[in-house]
Amino acid sequence: MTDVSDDDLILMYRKGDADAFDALFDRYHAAVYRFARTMLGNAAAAEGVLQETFLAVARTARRYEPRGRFRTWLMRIVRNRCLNRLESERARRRMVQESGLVVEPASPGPSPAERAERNEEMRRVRVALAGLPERQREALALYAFEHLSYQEIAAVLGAPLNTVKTLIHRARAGIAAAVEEKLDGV
Amino acid sequence: MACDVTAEQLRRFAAGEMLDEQTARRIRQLAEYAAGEGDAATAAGVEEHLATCAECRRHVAALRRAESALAALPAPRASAGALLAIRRELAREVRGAGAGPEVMTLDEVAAFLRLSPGQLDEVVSDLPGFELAGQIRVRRTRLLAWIERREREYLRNTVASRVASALAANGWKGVA
Repeated sequence: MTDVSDDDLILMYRKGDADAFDALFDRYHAAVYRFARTMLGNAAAAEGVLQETFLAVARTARRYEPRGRFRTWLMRIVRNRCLNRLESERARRRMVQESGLVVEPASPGPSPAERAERNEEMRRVRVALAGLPERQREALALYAFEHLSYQEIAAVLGAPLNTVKTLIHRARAGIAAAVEEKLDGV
Repeated sequence: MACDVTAEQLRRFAAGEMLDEQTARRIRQLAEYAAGEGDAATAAGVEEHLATCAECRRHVAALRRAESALAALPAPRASAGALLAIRRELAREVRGAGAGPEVMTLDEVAAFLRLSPGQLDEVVSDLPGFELAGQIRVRRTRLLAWIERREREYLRNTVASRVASALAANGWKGVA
């Protein structure tokens, strides 16, 4: 099914072809996971979002309008799931703060891939990426990892084109500033 | 030409702080130039500036290094175990009870099992169906349980026959 378009796959799935759904999952699970992981920073949460996203695809496939924009539609779903999680995480933290309890945030250690990342510059870039404001981070992830056009990113974020460009310019400047610190030996 | 874009201003731009219009525009142009975007005239203007401004050359170099480091970052991957569990959950949704009517006609059962109606006839007496107004109907959940039972039987039979042939190959006879 590698040469079947996304739209055809989803139309086939709508007619009851479960293999077509599997093909969509095979095609996009890595991208969905990477975006979720970049936004949430945590493997378990990203896996949860991966499952929720494709369950939503399965359940709302009928609402998809096949106009060659499956990827944009999919990324909008995963993005909304991530924002929900980030929002409830913020709410949880507020409650913990107000209750006066001190709970250390769960800090997953570096993954094997990250430990293997001996390159200091890459480490800096990864840390800078994780430290970007949410809006910049999601825009940059779609731009740098998913290679979406500004137009497509605007559609995913529901934001004007100029706002998207500004977010991405700021994000890139932020990462470049982290790289420059290294050049300066800070 | 003296340049007012310092590393500090780059950071302030990134943080979304207000900068004077000229500095903000300059940084935007540098970012676009480093990414190979923007029109040719603007790019030519940036290049003219870069020829005389070491500070901005550093910014462009950093922007490009950031870009290539981002592209080279290893993509995080979901663990194999998690993927398997997710696939199973999704299969339940798209192939299981959620995928169609709970009560199926024989035509639907045949399509579900990928059998022709003629092939279905061979197993129809074994199906977990029920009769309703002279028609045979099958509940999807019962059908799935029936498939699982057949899977177990098939596995038992293949294991038994392999064990038997392995034993026979070793000179054992009469062991069923």
